[in-house]
Amino acid sequence: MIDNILLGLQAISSFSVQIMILVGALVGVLVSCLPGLGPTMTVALLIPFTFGMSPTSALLLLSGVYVGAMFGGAIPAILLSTPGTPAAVCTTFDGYPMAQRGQAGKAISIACIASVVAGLFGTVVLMTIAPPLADFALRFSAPEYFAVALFGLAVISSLAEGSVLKAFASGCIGLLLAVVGMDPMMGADRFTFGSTELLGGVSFLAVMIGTAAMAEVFYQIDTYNRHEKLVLLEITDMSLTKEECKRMIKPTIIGCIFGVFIGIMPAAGANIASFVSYAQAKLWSKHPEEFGKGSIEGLTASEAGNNSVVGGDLVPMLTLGIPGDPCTAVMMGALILQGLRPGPLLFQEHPDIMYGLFLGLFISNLWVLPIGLLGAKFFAKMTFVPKHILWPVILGLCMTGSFASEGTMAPAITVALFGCIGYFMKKGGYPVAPLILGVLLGPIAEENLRRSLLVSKMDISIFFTRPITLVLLIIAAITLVMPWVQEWYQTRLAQKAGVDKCD
Amino acid sequence: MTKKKALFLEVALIAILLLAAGCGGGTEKKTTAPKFPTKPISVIVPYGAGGGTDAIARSMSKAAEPFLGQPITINNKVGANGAVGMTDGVNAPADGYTVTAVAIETVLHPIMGNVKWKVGDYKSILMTNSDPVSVAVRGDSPYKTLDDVIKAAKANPDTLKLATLAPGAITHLSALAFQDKTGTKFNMVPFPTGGAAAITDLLGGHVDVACITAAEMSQHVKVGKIRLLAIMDGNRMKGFPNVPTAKEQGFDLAFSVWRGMAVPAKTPDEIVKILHDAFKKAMEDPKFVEFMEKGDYGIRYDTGANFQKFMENETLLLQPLLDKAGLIKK
Repeated sequence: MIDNILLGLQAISSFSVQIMILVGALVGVLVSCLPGLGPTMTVALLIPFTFGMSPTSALLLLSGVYVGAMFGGAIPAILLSTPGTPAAVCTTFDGYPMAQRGQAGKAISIACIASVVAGLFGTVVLMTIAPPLADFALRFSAPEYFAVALFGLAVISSLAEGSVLKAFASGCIGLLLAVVGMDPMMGADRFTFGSTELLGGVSFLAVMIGTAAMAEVFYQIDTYNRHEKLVLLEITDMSLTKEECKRMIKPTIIGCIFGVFIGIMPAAGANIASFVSYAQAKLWSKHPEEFGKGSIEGLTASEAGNNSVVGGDLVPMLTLGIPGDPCTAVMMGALILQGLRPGPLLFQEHPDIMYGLFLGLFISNLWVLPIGLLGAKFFAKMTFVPKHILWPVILGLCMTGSFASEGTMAPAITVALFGCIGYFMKKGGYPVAPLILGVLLGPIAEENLRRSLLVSKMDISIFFTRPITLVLLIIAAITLVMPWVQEWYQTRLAQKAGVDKCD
Repeated sequence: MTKKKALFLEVALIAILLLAAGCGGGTEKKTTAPKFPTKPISVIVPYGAGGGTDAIARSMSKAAEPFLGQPITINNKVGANGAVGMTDGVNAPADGYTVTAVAIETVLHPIMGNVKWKVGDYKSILMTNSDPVSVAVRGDSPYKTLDDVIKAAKANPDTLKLATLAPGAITHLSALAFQDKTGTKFNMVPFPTGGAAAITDLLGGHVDVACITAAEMSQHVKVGKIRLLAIMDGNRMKGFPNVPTAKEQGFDLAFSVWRGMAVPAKTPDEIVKILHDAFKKAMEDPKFVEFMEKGDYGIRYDTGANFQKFMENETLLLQPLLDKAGLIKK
């Protein structure tokens, strides 16, 4: 452990890595304030720029964006009652009423402190839980990896925005795309239509940029309402009294614990974490009647919840290769492009990069404090950057980034194609995150399924006679039905606490 | 609504313009200067940044820059296991300003019918490295020699699990040749994503034997977790002097993962010589040698002519193996 921490320290001790950490956190806060940009889109757009970097720099830049955005979303949530990221929905409940009372400055300070404390806590948990999980490495063989991939695909049911069936349809399209190219086990061509470019399969980076960034822009253009008027509230005094600080302690702890716990569950992401933390904080509060009317506790719990989730979310992604939400799915793509295969082996093969990531995450979180406290006024202005200026910039980045990734036009054309496909999917209510998951996990599932069956000579019982495989398959089955259980639990919790369910 | 539509068109137009800008810009280098090189040289690496071929090409280009007096830029053209970049390299102007980092796939793609060119459409500059494939077992395996493995495989045909990499990869072909020469039959388990996964399965006891390059397993061999039974090369390896070659044990098998530099076949010989001399000097640079040793890349220099002959030999050697494996497009 100590050795690995030293390795990690060495990995992040260079100036360029430190700059990337700062840039990541800054960009994260910035994009969550800019209308229409979110962490997922930003990470997808940044990936092509990370090719020339060391894996440590690249990972820390991208995770810095994630960390920064989780706090940054609170700024427009408090000042405009418009969540900057989906995870900041619950922040609007109490943040905006506080701002209306003229306490916008206080609210941002509270959000910032709660975010940083929770982010640090999440990182500590990540650092303690992830490496022991990775010790299973040698027990994992093809059947286990197949079960893990299936588990990851089962997560699709919780990525649904409405119809679970539509989410699975989207996931199936992703799996089909993953089939294109050279068959991994026998070398036969599949759906290449004689094209050399398609031999290597559909570039998943291009699919990610197309569906996560370009399609989102198209969709926003389509649903844009020019006459929407937003009123920005003034940021005033940012200092907190001792009494206010004291009131933050309990909700911060609640947010930390629930955020991490929900993050570790592969099927739930930041928005659920912030909602559960908020609801729990209300249950445990001495003043539940203040919630929704500008309660410090409510604001703290929501922000702590959506920040501690980052550390938790990275646990299943790094140790098993199962991303819990769209943003970690895109980050997993970045990892694969850097030649790092997420899974138990990652910690054995690259302890320097992994521990560098952990230590770097601490620094990212710490940077959020000065960025949030000193830069709040500047970032507040960013919420008014007109969308018609941002859109062409994003589209330009989509094209240049994908072109640069391989030095050929093929990925740029793929991006344009998937931009269009993604737009129509969104319009039809088909979420695009399952598609990304399908493209990422499809090859892993296929390769390991086929290798298992080769080893067992086509005997399917290999999946039921190995204990780890069996357990993983059972968990996958549970994950599949989890969204319905969660919905039931949330409604019950909401009824008990008397808040509206937030999606 | 109309305003919205106009806005959409506006943005779409910008996107199309950007696309068009990306498409344009052809190659305008046609000048035949008497002196070479008078402008930067570009090295096409047909694989992604960070892989072995990329790392070697980068390190060598850096070392060769002072000898050429011009900067060398690396151009990663990824796709289809190297086929995309290698095709671009063959079709580049034959003026010596576009060099391609070639590898074993440069021989494999033409045989498999993935590309329209032949190995002869490249003129090689020099060979840079060669990692021989080895036959390996787990450190505590009951098989102490190659003979033990062959006996066990003969006693129970199609039972022993043998790990190789992607189908058609040199490790796979070497395993096929091994079966042929020894009259055995293994249960072949391919690991198309690379050596790391195969090595873990070997260490975990999920496979019995592996045909992988010795360099890739060197760390585990040094601590005794993996035992090498044979090196598929003419001579023993410098790093593992105690491991006998397959030939010493009665089976004439030589397979290795090799790399080199090449230009289009029509490039004038005097330009190839200038490039050769610069890259050769780069290979003698202590920094480059240190880099190669650190990465366990078996450094091996050979002249362009020899390398060309070597590649043609490989074509003859591998063609029947690929044919037998059903990997040649009809």
